[in-house]
Amino acid sequence: MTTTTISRPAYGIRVRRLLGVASVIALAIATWLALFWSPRDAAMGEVVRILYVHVPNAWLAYLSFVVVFLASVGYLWTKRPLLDAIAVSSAEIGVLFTGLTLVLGSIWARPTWGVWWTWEPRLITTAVMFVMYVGYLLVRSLSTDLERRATRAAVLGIVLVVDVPIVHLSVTWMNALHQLPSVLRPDLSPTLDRSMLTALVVMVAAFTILYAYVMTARVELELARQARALAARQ
Amino acid sequence: MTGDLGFVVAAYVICFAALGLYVASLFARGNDRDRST
Repeated sequence: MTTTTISRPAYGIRVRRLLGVASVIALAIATWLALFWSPRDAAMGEVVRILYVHVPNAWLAYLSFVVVFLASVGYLWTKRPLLDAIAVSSAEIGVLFTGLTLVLGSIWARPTWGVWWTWEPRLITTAVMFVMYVGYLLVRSLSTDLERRATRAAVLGIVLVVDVPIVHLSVTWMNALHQLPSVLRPDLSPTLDRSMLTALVVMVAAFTILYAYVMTARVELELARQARALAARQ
Repeated sequence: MTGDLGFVVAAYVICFAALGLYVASLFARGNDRDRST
């Protein structure tokens, strides 16, 4: 079997460990704020606490797919394999966040709307986004040629990002059951209570640190996979 | 009310279990890679 050695810079391992510890601590604090510190909602009751994990998952899904877009543009521009590794890693993590957004939204919808699922614009566009990025990951397996695969994926990564603003703005464009944005509003004035906003912002920060941690680990795996594929070809 | 708390607990358990499993899968894939090098 062909062997390949992947160098791991010591500072990189330290940074990742730091991100891992920071994400665990931040998630613990954010979960305490969301479950015990923030007040119950006057209309939704305790169910509002689901939104402290539903919304960060949705935002991190947006972030992941924007990173896929930026890395894809960068790859087509420079042809650097690192950017392809960043794109596929972020797409995989984005699919996880989108899947969780759909599942958690469904759990929130059952006691709030009375249904697990309804065919309304935000839910449909999010489900379409999930399927499209699963397709992105599948398209990558169509070719064993590294450059061809990366180029195809980069083109797809640029095209698919169009769905991100469609998902976010779908509630304002169409008559939707899903509530309107309460934080990322055009007038930049959140409609949330300050304590609820604090818990949400801390949870988003914790999820963002987790995303950075997972990305560093996933990108390293992808770079190792690329190196093995190159070594096997030679 | 009790039913509502059940939904909240289910949501948090599913969310953190999924994230934890994904991180664990990265560790497992990394360990597989280390064994093959």
